[in-house]
Amino acid sequence: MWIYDKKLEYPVKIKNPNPALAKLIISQLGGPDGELGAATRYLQQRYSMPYAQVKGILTDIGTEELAHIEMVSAILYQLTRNLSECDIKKSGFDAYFIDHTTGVYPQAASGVPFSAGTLQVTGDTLADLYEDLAAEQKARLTYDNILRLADDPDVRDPIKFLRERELVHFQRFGEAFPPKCNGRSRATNNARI
Amino acid sequence: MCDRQRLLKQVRMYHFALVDVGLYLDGHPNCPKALAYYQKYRKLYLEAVAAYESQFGPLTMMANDDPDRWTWSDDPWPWEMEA
Repeated sequence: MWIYDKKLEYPVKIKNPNPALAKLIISQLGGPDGELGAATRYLQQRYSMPYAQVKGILTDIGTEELAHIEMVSAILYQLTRNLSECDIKKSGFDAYFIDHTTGVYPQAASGVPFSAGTLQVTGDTLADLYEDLAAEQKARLTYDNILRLADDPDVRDPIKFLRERELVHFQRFGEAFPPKCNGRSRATNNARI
Repeated sequence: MCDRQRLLKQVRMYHFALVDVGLYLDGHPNCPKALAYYQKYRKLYLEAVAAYESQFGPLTMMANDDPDRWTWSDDPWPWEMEA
Protein backbone atom coordinates (compact mmCIF):
# COMPACT_ATOMS: atom_id res chain seq x y z
CA MET A 1 0.00 0.00 0.00
CA TRP A 2 1.00 3.63 -0.19
CA ILE A 3 1.28 6.47 2.32
CA TYR A 4 1.11 10.08 1.17
CA ASP A 5 3.96 12.44 2.12
CA LYS A 6 2.83 16.03 2.42
CA LYS A 7 5.68 17.47 0.36
CA LEU A 8 6.80 17.71 -3.26
CA GLU A 9 9.90 15.73 -4.23
CA TYR A 10 11.45 18.98 -5.51
CA PRO A 11 9.96 22.46 -4.96
CA VAL A 12 7.72 24.21 -7.50
CA LYS A 13 7.33 28.00 -7.05
CA ILE A 14 6.33 29.80 -10.24
CA LYS A 15 5.82 33.55 -9.82
CA ASN A 16 4.35 34.33 -13.26
CA PRO A 17 1.32 32.45 -14.62
CA ASN A 18 1.68 31.38 -18.26
CA PRO A 19 -1.31 29.40 -19.59
CA ALA A 20 0.25 29.03 -23.06
CA LEU A 21 3.15 27.13 -21.50
CA ALA A 22 0.77 25.04 -19.35
CA LYS A 23 -0.87 23.87 -22.58
CA LEU A 24 2.47 22.35 -23.62
CA ILE A 25 3.71 21.01 -20.29
CA ILE A 26 0.41 19.15 -19.75
CA SER A 27 1.81 16.43 -22.06
CA GLN A 28 4.09 15.35 -19.23
CA LEU A 29 0.98 14.65 -17.14
CA GLY A 30 -1.32 12.81 -19.51
CA GLY A 31 0.51 12.62 -22.84
CA PRO A 32 1.88 9.53 -24.60
CA ASP A 33 5.19 9.70 -22.67
CA GLY A 34 3.95 11.43 -19.53
CA GLU A 35 4.30 10.65 -15.85
CA LEU A 36 0.85 9.07 -15.37
CA GLY A 37 1.67 6.50 -18.04
CA ALA A 38 5.11 5.94 -16.51
CA ALA A 39 3.75 5.25 -13.01
CA THR A 40 1.02 2.96 -14.37
CA ARG A 41 3.45 1.05 -16.58
CA TYR A 42 6.05 0.30 -13.88
CA LEU A 43 3.66 -0.43 -11.05
CA GLN A 44 1.57 -2.79 -13.22
CA GLN A 45 4.61 -4.59 -14.61
CA ARG A 46 5.63 -5.72 -11.13
CA TYR A 47 3.27 -8.69 -10.86
CA SER A 48 4.78 -10.66 -13.72
CA MET A 49 8.37 -9.75 -12.82
CA PRO A 50 10.11 -12.83 -11.38
CA TYR A 51 13.22 -11.14 -9.93
CA ALA A 52 13.18 -9.62 -6.44
CA GLN A 53 15.64 -6.88 -7.31
CA VAL A 54 13.67 -5.81 -10.39
CA LYS A 55 10.40 -5.90 -8.41
CA GLY A 56 12.14 -3.43 -6.10
CA ILE A 57 13.28 -1.19 -8.98
CA LEU A 58 9.78 -1.17 -10.55
CA THR A 59 8.18 -0.41 -7.17
CA ASP A 60 10.57 2.41 -6.32
CA ILE A 61 10.65 4.06 -9.75
CA GLY A 62 6.86 3.64 -10.10
CA THR A 63 6.45 5.32 -6.72
CA GLU A 64 8.75 8.18 -7.72
CA GLU A 65 6.69 8.63 -10.91
CA LEU A 66 3.62 9.19 -8.71
CA ALA A 67 5.56 12.04 -7.10
CA HIS A 68 6.38 13.37 -10.59
CA ILE A 69 2.68 13.39 -11.52
CA GLU A 70 2.24 15.67 -8.51
CA MET A 71 5.16 17.94 -9.48
CA VAL A 72 3.95 18.35 -13.08
CA SER A 73 0.43 19.01 -11.76
CA ALA A 74 1.80 21.65 -9.36
CA ILE A 75 3.54 23.35 -12.31
CA LEU A 76 0.27 23.33 -14.30
CA TYR A 77 -1.69 24.64 -11.31
CA GLN A 78 0.72 27.51 -10.74
CA LEU A 79 0.93 28.42 -14.44
CA THR A 80 -2.86 28.83 -14.62
CA ARG A 81 -3.45 30.96 -11.52
CA ASN A 82 -5.31 34.31 -11.57
CA LEU A 83 -6.20 34.33 -15.27
CA SER A 84 -8.34 37.07 -16.77
CA GLU A 85 -10.74 36.32 -19.62
CA CYS A 86 -8.34 38.18 -21.87
CA ASP A 87 -5.38 35.98 -20.74
CA ILE A 88 -7.42 32.87 -21.47
CA LYS A 89 -8.38 33.98 -24.97
CA LYS A 90 -5.00 35.41 -25.98
CA SER A 91 -2.94 32.45 -24.72
CA GLY A 92 -4.90 29.82 -26.63
CA PHE A 93 -5.85 28.24 -23.29
CA ASP A 94 -9.53 28.85 -24.16
CA ALA A 95 -10.26 25.42 -25.68
CA TYR A 96 -8.93 23.64 -22.57
CA PHE A 97 -10.73 26.14 -20.33
CA ILE A 98 -14.10 25.30 -21.89
CA ASP A 99 -13.79 21.63 -20.88
CA HIS A 100 -11.82 21.81 -17.63
CA THR A 101 -11.76 25.46 -16.43
CA THR A 102 -8.41 25.51 -14.56
CA GLY A 103 -8.75 21.93 -13.30
CA VAL A 104 -5.69 19.75 -13.91
CA TYR A 105 -6.84 17.03 -16.33
CA PRO A 106 -4.49 14.34 -17.69
CA GLN A 107 -4.24 14.92 -21.42
CA ALA A 108 -1.60 15.40 -24.12
CA ALA A 109 -0.56 18.80 -25.46
CA SER A 110 -2.62 17.89 -28.53
CA GLY A 111 -5.76 17.64 -26.31
CA VAL A 112 -6.06 13.83 -26.47
CA PRO A 113 -7.05 12.47 -23.02
CA PHE A 114 -4.68 10.09 -21.20
CA SER A 115 -4.87 6.55 -22.53
CA ALA A 116 -3.42 3.27 -21.24
CA GLY A 117 -2.97 2.58 -24.96
CA THR A 118 0.31 4.50 -24.63
CA LEU A 119 1.88 1.78 -22.46
CA GLN A 120 2.34 -1.98 -22.28
CA VAL A 121 2.44 -4.71 -19.66
CA THR A 122 3.48 -7.75 -21.68
CA GLY A 123 4.19 -10.24 -18.89
CA ASP A 124 7.56 -10.82 -20.55
CA THR A 125 10.56 -9.71 -18.48
CA LEU A 126 12.78 -8.60 -21.34
CA ALA A 127 10.04 -6.97 -23.42
CA ASP A 128 8.83 -4.99 -20.38
CA LEU A 129 12.32 -3.83 -19.41
CA TYR A 130 13.17 -2.75 -22.96
CA GLU A 131 9.91 -0.80 -23.07
CA ASP A 132 10.88 0.87 -19.80
CA LEU A 133 14.24 1.99 -21.21
CA ALA A 134 12.49 3.45 -24.27
CA ALA A 135 9.86 5.12 -22.06
CA GLU A 136 12.53 6.95 -20.05
CA GLN A 137 14.15 8.23 -23.25
CA LYS A 138 10.81 9.40 -24.64
CA ALA A 139 10.01 11.24 -21.42
CA ARG A 140 13.52 12.77 -21.49
CA LEU A 141 13.06 14.09 -25.03
CA THR A 142 9.66 15.53 -24.12
CA TYR A 143 11.37 17.44 -21.28
CA ASP A 144 14.06 18.53 -23.78
CA ASN A 145 11.35 19.92 -26.06
CA ILE A 146 9.72 21.74 -23.13
CA LEU A 147 13.12 23.27 -22.24
CA ARG A 148 13.47 24.44 -25.86
CA LEU A 149 10.23 26.40 -25.56
CA ALA A 150 10.25 27.56 -21.91
CA ASP A 151 12.18 30.71 -20.88
CA ASP A 152 10.99 31.17 -17.29
CA PRO A 153 13.71 29.99 -14.85
CA ASP A 154 11.00 29.18 -12.25
CA VAL A 155 9.62 26.61 -14.73
CA ARG A 156 12.95 25.43 -16.15
CA ASP A 157 14.36 24.55 -12.73
CA PRO A 158 11.85 21.83 -11.73
CA ILE A 159 11.65 20.66 -15.38
CA LYS A 160 15.43 20.17 -15.38
CA PHE A 161 15.15 18.15 -12.18
CA LEU A 162 12.48 15.93 -13.77
CA ARG A 163 14.62 15.51 -16.89
CA GLU A 164 17.57 14.40 -14.79
CA ARG A 165 15.42 11.79 -13.08
CA GLU A 166 14.58 10.27 -16.48
CA LEU A 167 18.31 9.76 -17.06
CA VAL A 168 18.76 8.19 -13.62
CA HIS A 169 15.79 5.87 -14.14
CA PHE A 170 17.16 4.86 -17.56
CA GLN A 171 20.45 4.02 -15.87
CA ARG A 172 18.75 1.97 -13.13
CA PHE A 173 16.64 0.02 -15.64
CA GLY A 174 19.79 -0.59 -17.69
CA GLU A 175 21.48 -2.08 -14.65
CA ALA A 176 18.61 -4.53 -14.29
CA PHE A 177 20.00 -6.36 -17.38
CA PRO A 178 20.44 -9.25 -17.34
CA PRO A 179 17.66 -9.54 -14.77
CA LYS A 180 19.32 -9.74 -11.41
CA CYS A 181 19.13 -12.96 -9.45
CA ASN A 182 21.16 -11.78 -6.48
CA GLY A 183 19.29 -10.69 -3.40
CA ARG A 184 16.78 -13.04 -1.87
CA SER A 185 14.70 -13.84 -4.91
CA ARG A 186 12.33 -16.69 -5.53
CA ALA A 187 12.81 -16.26 -9.26
CA THR A 188 13.67 -19.89 -9.82
CA ASN A 189 10.28 -20.93 -8.45
CA ASN A 190 8.25 -18.28 -10.20
CA ALA A 191 9.83 -18.12 -13.63
CA ARG A 192 8.15 -21.06 -15.29
CA ILE A 193 7.78 -19.43 -18.68
CA MET B 1 0.14 -18.34 11.73
CA CYS B 2 3.88 -17.67 11.83
CA ASP B 3 5.44 -14.88 13.84
CA ARG B 4 5.96 -12.72 10.77
CA GLN B 5 2.35 -12.94 9.70
CA ARG B 6 1.14 -12.31 13.24
CA LEU B 7 3.24 -9.13 13.51
CA LEU B 8 2.25 -8.02 10.01
CA LYS B 9 -1.40 -8.49 10.92
CA GLN B 10 -0.92 -6.16 13.90
CA VAL B 11 0.79 -3.53 11.75
CA ARG B 12 -2.00 -3.78 9.18
CA MET B 13 -4.73 -3.62 11.84
CA TYR B 14 -3.31 -0.54 13.58
CA HIS B 15 -2.50 1.11 10.27
CA PHE B 16 -6.04 0.60 9.04
CA ALA B 17 -7.41 2.06 12.29
CA LEU B 18 -5.28 5.17 11.63
CA VAL B 19 -6.31 5.41 7.95
CA ASP B 20 -9.94 5.12 8.94
CA VAL B 21 -9.91 7.59 11.83
CA GLY B 22 -7.70 9.92 9.76
CA LEU B 23 -10.41 10.14 7.11
CA TYR B 24 -12.95 10.92 9.82
CA LEU B 25 -10.68 13.56 11.34
CA ASP B 26 -10.27 15.24 7.92
CA GLY B 27 -13.94 16.17 8.21
CA HIS B 28 -14.08 16.48 12.04
CA PRO B 29 -10.70 17.94 13.02
CA ASN B 30 -11.76 18.94 16.54
CA CYS B 31 -13.55 15.76 17.65
CA PRO B 32 -11.90 14.88 21.01
CA LYS B 33 -13.02 11.25 20.88
CA ALA B 34 -11.50 10.70 17.44
CA LEU B 35 -8.31 12.55 18.42
CA ALA B 36 -7.89 10.33 21.49
CA TYR B 37 -8.52 7.24 19.36
CA TYR B 38 -5.90 8.43 16.88
CA GLN B 39 -3.30 8.99 19.62
CA LYS B 40 -3.95 5.57 21.13
CA TYR B 41 -3.60 3.70 17.85
CA ARG B 42 -0.68 5.79 16.62
CA LYS B 43 1.36 4.57 19.59
CA LEU B 44 0.32 0.95 19.03
CA TYR B 45 1.07 1.30 15.31
CA LEU B 46 4.57 2.66 15.86
CA GLU B 47 5.30 -0.14 18.36
CA ALA B 48 4.02 -2.78 15.96
CA VAL B 49 6.11 -1.37 13.08
CA ALA B 50 9.24 -1.36 15.27
CA ALA B 51 8.59 -4.96 16.37
CA TYR B 52 8.05 -6.14 12.79
CA GLU B 53 10.98 -4.30 11.23
CA SER B 54 13.49 -5.38 13.90
CA GLN B 55 12.87 -9.01 12.98
CA PHE B 56 11.66 -9.07 9.38
CA GLY B 57 13.13 -6.08 7.61
CA PRO B 58 11.87 -2.74 6.38
CA LEU B 59 8.23 -1.95 5.60
CA THR B 60 9.26 1.24 3.82
CA MET B 61 12.43 2.01 1.89
CA MET B 62 13.51 4.61 4.45
CA ALA B 63 13.43 1.99 7.23
CA ASN B 64 16.28 -0.11 5.82
CA ASP B 65 18.71 0.10 8.77
CA ASP B 66 20.96 -2.87 8.05
CA PRO B 67 24.38 -1.26 7.42
CA ASP B 68 25.75 -4.35 5.68
CA ARG B 69 23.02 -5.35 3.28
CA TRP B 70 20.16 -3.77 1.30
CA THR B 71 17.19 -5.91 2.40
CA TRP B 72 14.45 -3.68 0.95
CA SER B 73 14.06 -5.55 -2.34
CA ASP B 74 14.08 -9.06 -0.80
CA ASP B 75 11.19 -11.40 -1.53
CA PRO B 76 8.38 -11.84 -0.72
CA TRP B 77 6.65 -8.76 -2.14
CA PRO B 78 3.16 -8.00 -0.81
CA TRP B 79 1.21 -9.39 -3.78
CA GLU B 80 2.81 -12.83 -3.47
CA MET B 81 1.30 -15.84 -1.73
CA GLU B 82 4.34 -16.12 0.53
CA ALA B 83 3.82 -12.59 1.92
